[in-house]
Amino acid sequence: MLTRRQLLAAALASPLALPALGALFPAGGSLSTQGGLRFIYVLAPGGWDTTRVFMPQFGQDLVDMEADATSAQIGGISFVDHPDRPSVRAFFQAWGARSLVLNGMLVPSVAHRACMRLLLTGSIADGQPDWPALVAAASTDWTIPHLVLDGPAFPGPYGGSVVRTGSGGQLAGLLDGSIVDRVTPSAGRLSPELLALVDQRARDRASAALERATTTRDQGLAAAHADALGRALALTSVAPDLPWDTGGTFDGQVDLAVAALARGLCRSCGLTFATERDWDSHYLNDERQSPLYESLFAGLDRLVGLLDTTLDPDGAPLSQRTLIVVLSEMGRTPLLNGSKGKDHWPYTSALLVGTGVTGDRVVGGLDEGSAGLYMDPSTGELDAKGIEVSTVHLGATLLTLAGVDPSELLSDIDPLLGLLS
Amino acid sequence: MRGRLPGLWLGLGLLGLSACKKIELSPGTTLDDPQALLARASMDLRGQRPSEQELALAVVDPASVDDDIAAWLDAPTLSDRLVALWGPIWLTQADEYLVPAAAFGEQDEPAFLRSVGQQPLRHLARVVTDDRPWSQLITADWTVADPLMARIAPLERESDADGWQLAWYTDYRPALGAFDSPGMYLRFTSTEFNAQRSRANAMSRILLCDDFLARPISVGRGVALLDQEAAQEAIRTDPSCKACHDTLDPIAANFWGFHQMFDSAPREYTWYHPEREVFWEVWSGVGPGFQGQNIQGAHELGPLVAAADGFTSCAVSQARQVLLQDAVQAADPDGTERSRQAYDASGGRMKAVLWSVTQQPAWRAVGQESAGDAGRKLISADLLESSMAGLVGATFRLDGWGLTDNDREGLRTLAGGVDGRFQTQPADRPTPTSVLVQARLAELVAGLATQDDRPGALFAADDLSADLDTAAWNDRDRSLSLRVLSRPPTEDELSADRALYDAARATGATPAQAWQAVLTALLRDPAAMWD
Repeated sequence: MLTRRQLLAAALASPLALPALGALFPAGGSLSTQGGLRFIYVLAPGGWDTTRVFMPQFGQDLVDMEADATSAQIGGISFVDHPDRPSVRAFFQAWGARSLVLNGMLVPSVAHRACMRLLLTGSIADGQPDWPALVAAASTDWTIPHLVLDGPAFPGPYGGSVVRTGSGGQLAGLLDGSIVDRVTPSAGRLSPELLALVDQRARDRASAALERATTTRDQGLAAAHADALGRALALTSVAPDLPWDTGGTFDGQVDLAVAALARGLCRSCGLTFATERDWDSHYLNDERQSPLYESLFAGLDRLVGLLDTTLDPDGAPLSQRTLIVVLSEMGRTPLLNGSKGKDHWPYTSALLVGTGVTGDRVVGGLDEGSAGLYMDPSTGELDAKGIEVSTVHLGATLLTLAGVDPSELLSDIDPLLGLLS
Repeated sequence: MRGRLPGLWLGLGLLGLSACKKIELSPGTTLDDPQALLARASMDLRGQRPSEQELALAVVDPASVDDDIAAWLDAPTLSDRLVALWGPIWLTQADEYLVPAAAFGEQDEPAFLRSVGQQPLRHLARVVTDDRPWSQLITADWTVADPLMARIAPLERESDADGWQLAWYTDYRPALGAFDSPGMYLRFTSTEFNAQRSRANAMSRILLCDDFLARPISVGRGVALLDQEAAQEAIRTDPSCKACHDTLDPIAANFWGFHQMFDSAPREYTWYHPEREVFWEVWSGVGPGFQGQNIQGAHELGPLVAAADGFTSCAVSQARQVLLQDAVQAADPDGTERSRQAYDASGGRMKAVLWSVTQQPAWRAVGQESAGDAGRKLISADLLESSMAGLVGATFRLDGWGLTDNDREGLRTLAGGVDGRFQTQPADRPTPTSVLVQARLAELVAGLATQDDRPGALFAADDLSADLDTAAWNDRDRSLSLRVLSRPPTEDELSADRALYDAARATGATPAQAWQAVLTALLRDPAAMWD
């Protein structure tokens, strides 16, 4: 306990404990220079039709492809090209060398909520943390290890490492204090000058609690409070510089995520593109999915471009340390139904873009019955004697990329080491 | 449960507040002192910090704490606490349901979410506060309803009064206690293909502590999930499926009467549909049953569940979970056995179990090293709000929404709470955002407490209009510490608080603003987040 206390006492005496909220760091300063890969998770909830971009299953009797679609190849990336989706082609032209497409990944359910849990946690049980939360729990040096801008997140027991911005902009309101003005009843707030004095006294109280604690439990709580207070004050200091108002758009989420990563605020961000209602195309599949894909890839193109031109706290382009993980919790049936829609299918694809994976590559696939093909996890090549890749294999791979040993969390699950660069 | 000492109460009452201040209270941090034990009891059982008078009495007569515990277990305030305590277990209080308020012609979405999410928990609370057997969670032919629930469901309330009243369904649904609540089925949904299994699992998880979803699932490659016949065949024959489905599917077959079929009709969601009870014949092929016993339907289910292995141990486990922590109950088999005995001896009453937990070292030895993993507890998000807001008698609203009971506009998960769908475990330690919530709540409460026209109980009007002499200032600071932290300040704290006051005055702040600063900082003390 002594070491922990010393550490936290030092933390309170560090720049995190400077006097005033909002003045902890010089303008343009950063919070941290932590190592390790950063992640941006992009979720397309509702179930995308993999045959419209990722899986060119032309010429198969049991698959309904679009009439105007063609199979295309850019470098090592084979994909479905369509005149209504120029952004897909543009994306792979620009970033195909950094892109890895994983096809035929099993999500062993066909219910949205179960699939979402399976995709992100590998389990359908309540309380199981998702991959970002597991990485976040091991990333304690970050102010906010995982920042969720929109969409589902399953922190499990690691709620302290996962922070949502809130659907109503609650985090921004908390940080700048404006939420106080929206609450009723309320009274006049203290001036910034007095609030600075209060902040200092709050820090002193946290230090005193740490010193006064005599039991293991009290020490743990006091230390955790001191740690949380330090992070909260650090977070508050950079809050004015971040574009918290996303306007409910994907571009807004991208701007906030990139800014947060650039300031060293978080190790990973969770973004969502559109809603379950949008992607869940039980009727008019192509009229609905095609424009979504077009917008998604336009947004991803902008995201990768921003990561290239935005520097991290160490002065390196963010793209050199960031992996984008684009997911949807299920695929869609190979054949159109009577409403020109497609229903739920338990095999999906994943798009990984950036550092850590071998780009210019498509791995995995579907057989003629649209079931996943087996893969050798050590090479990423198809292998009938290999494994059927499911969401837990993706999870183990992401954990490995983050420097977290997956064997302690996912027994008997091999990470897909053949996908890593 | 012993009787209170009326003479002492009377004496302290006559002495009044100033007399209480003269009693030497320990600034110690261990709960072998009764004031800390009282604070825990007050927070756990009524959601408020104890008053100065109550703390003073606890010091003079430590045994009076048990009187207070007994009284709070019988007080109306227990109901809200039970809802808060069991909320993270039942997970019915979500930010959205199958349909919004507008589907029922209701305009107040926050109120709709509160009522729907709370109804099952209010049933639980009524079972406890009326000291009825815990089995009535699943066997009662009555329920509770507020005016909103009575508008959207076929319910007849005992009276037209506001709040939660006893009520009865008028659509002849089977007696399933809290599991008759529309909220259960708006929260835990099912498709035909799912065949009510998610609802059966919710019941099993909540009442039997047996979560089928927590079991490892292995879906063989040969199982064609989209081919219904093949999937049903696998469920019946594939060993990897059978193990769970043989148990789960008969339970699920009992819930078809709650099945919704048509999205547009409000009655679909809140009315019982007896004609659909036989849908299992089409969708699962497995008839109603429970733990190997075939039954006629849901009207026979409740007593079987209440008599099942696991029902009692689950009840006891949950009582210990809500008042202690998971780690404690696992490490305290003797305490668990004592709680079990209390349950049995009382005829299955939860109030007796709660009382038994409060009499055990794991709950009472707060702050003592001997308690091991026991000790102080981080308070929940709702308790953080209620304990602070209670100091100024306020109920906070954020654009019409509650402050910590939702995430649509509120701060529930940011404060460490549970959202019922994604965040299903409360925070067990302070987080950056929960500390921020504490800071903003502190601002709100201190602002209200020092308003000129709202002197309240924390300040006398004279405190705020002019600087006090040293003795009076120290008395006021001690009083604030007692109200906020349930302990007096140390001498160092007193000096530091005074320094803050003086520094604030030096900036030109009024006495009221200087006290506002002192109180804001006090409310941000780490100990304000635990009991």
